Amino acid sequence: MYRYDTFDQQLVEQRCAEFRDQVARRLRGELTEEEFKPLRLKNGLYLQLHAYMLRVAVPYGVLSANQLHKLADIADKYDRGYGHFTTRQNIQFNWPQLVDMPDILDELASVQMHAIQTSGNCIRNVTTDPFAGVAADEVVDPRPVCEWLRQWSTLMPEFSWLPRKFKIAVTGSTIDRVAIKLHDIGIQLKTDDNGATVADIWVGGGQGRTPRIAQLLKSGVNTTDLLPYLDAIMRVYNLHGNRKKKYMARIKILLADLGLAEFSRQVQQAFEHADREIYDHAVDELRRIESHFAVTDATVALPMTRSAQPADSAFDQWVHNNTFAHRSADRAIVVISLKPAGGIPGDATSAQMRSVAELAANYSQDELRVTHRQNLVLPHVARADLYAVWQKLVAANLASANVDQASDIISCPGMDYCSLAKARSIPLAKTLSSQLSKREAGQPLSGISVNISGCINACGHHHVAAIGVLGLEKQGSESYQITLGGRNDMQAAVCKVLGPGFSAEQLPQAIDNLVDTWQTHRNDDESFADTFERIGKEPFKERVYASA
Amino acid sequence: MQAPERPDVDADAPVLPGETALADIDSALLSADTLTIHFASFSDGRGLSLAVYLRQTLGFTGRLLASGQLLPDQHRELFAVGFDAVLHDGHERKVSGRESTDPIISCTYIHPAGPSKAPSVWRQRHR
Repeated sequence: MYRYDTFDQQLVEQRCAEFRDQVARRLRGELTEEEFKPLRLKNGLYLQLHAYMLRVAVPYGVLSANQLHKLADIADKYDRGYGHFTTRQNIQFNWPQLVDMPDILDELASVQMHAIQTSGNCIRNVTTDPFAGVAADEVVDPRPVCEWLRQWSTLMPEFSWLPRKFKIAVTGSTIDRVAIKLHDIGIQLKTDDNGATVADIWVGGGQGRTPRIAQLLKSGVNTTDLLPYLDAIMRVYNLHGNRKKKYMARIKILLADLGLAEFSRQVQQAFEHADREIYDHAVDELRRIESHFAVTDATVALPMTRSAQPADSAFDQWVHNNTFAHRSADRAIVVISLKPAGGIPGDATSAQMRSVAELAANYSQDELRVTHRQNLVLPHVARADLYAVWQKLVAANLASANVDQASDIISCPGMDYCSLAKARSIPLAKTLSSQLSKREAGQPLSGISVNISGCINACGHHHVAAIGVLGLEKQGSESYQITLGGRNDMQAAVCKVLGPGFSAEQLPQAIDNLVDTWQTHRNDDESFADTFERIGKEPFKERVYASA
Repeated sequence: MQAPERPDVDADAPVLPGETALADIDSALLSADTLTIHFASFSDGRGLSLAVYLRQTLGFTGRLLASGQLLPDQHRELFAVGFDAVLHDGHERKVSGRESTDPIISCTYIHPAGPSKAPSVWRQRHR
């Protein structure tokens, strides 16, 4: 993984000092809250319903064991002993004090971490495939380009005051595990006929109250042109994005207003006038970064053999659901579910963080990842070690064998924390995960996803779930609208509304009926989204509302 | 407050609102000694891209000033995109990383960040 040199370290430490100064000025009353707000947001500091919330960057979802230990220490020292992993591969602390923030940032800097641009109207943390560098289906390892983009976007002066937040995702695989078509810019890395890395640029995807699937803006951009081309996109957006209405300010709205052809023309014009001199050393820098991600399969372990393990159906189920093909046949990618039955999606206690950090240090070359679905990954586990890893996960209460199952629920914090939310998400997620886990004990429920958002801002990604749940306020009460048929893979699609909403008490039965209907109509291993596309929403609607 | 460095600002220097459409820029402005870009709000970054457009695309080589309710925390960004100074209460103030001291952040990966013109990180790494 990438390790800071003295320049990286200096920049992060200087940013800490800058924010310490800003906090001090706020506490002395020299900055108004209106002035302080965008400054604190650019350092990941929100003011939530009950307290400040700090969002710490996990650049492209990659963490070292040492960094996770530090996050556990911060959870204990400055928060309430837990952290919350997010859909953009970051971690949030929900209860820090403003006066402690500079010290927290200093502690993060001591392990090469920060909170830079995890919020605010700027380029946010770049996300990528949590299996990057190890996936058997990978074409190009996206991590070097992600680190390159991290550096390019960090404190980027021209794009520090955009019309709205800006999210970039990168994949180097033909299987999309990071939802590139639901981002402001999605980048798919490929190789050209000469084996050189090139990028397809998708633009204008996003969720929120106006969900859009990204459109292909340009294919085959080479690495020499990539940063100037991204500059050009950002410049057109910065100059022409809507600044009068917050909900019309994302690039997807500008793209819709201009049309792809005109947007593309303006970007091309900006690209042709771009300052190439500032990128004199960009490709040299990419080569330098690539050296940090050289393949390091340091140990060769024996393949796991069934005779070496005691018979254990729980272990078998965990291997089946939670391990994935590694590019090395004697290794596996292990996904650690943060979705225990009845638990809060994405939460981990400090003790669990330390357990995972020790597993990463002992079994995964000191490295782990955060996933788009709010889980953790040990990317380098020898198959011979799987049983030992599973036993330690059982001891840490982290062995839920439900990755990519129905109970692997994405949920936003909802009204328990968020000042924007209209309904609670977490209690519903806990109820549904308990219910769905019971069903999965009898029959696995793969090929289906359940995502919950507590308001129209869609932080719980309900638009792209097989079954989405959207919390609304209806006549002073919480109401939950069901959506169906969304997906966030290479065939990304926005869901369709099923019909009238439900109360929190009614919703679990409705979800049960939807799963029943899918299983009745499902062909073989067909996914929920494929079944929905084939038969439409009427069979689901009839079943759910007939019994409501 | 730091004393103004140049109280003799040219009151007749042309002013471009940050929201100016690129097509509306009069090419005659490019021969001006000084141009001012006015920011309607500190949170409106259009003036930053407008400055880049003037410098990079139109080749404006005169002095570029920023006006409006800007924060001292933004001086680093203003400098990096080509501004020479900020107007504050009608006076011209040299652009620095902060209002009263040297810039805290000396350079970023792509851009020099202060009037010392320290090279960018990438330039330092690969020179």
